[in-house]
Amino acid sequence: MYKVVFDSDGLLKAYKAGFLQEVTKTYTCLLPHEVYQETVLAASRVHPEEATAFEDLIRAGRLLRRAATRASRADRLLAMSAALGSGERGALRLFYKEHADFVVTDDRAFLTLLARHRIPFLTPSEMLFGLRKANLLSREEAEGAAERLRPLIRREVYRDLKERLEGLS
Amino acid sequence: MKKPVALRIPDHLLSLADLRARKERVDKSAALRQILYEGAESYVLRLLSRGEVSLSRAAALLDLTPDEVQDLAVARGVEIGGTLAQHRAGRSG
Repeated sequence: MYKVVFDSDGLLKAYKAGFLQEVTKTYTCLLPHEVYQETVLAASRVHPEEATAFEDLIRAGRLLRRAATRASRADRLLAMSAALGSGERGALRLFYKEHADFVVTDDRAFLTLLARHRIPFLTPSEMLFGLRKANLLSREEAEGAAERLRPLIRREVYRDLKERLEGLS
Repeated sequence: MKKPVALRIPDHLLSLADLRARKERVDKSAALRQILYEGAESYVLRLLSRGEVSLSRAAALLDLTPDEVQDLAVARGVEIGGTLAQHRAGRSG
């Protein structure tokens, strides 16, 4: 099973699109402490139902909360980028600490850094496509998730996702 | 935390603050802060859309949660997320 590390963007998009549950059954999902703080704890203030859903996954052991210690490799890369916040920084440190396979994000600034340093990543759209391709989501479920993802992704990315999903049907 | 800052504000913006203060029934300072904050939101969303700051950084700059920043981008119709080229690079990488 692939081990993936979420940043807040990846976690929120998978949740809002409605396929986070499926993702946690398919991958070993790691949640950096910083992402837990800025997304899960903060959600309890603004979106309590969202916080409850995340906490349930954590309690069930399907989202694994992990603290990232300093990782010299990550810190070297992060020293060159002022664009990132604590969530993405925590995700990168945890990626190296846990020897994870992918970072899950669709954050443009973070993707730029990951691509530049050839760090493997998965976007929520790509995860959705993968779940459908593996028949872990029905056609209707995948199309519904793509619609929910639509306002949170670029138009060109949505169109590409729709075409690829239709190509599977 | 709020800190006092001395600023030279053009007359037309002060008129706008007066107008807003009357319409929103707040004092002039509050109206000016609201105008400043809306400008800050627009600016940070633009940086986020261009990939010049990340979601987490945008949230910290606006004192919001990442979730709230996403909601704000959706409400303002600002496109966020990776580009198609980045998505394709991820697939081939």
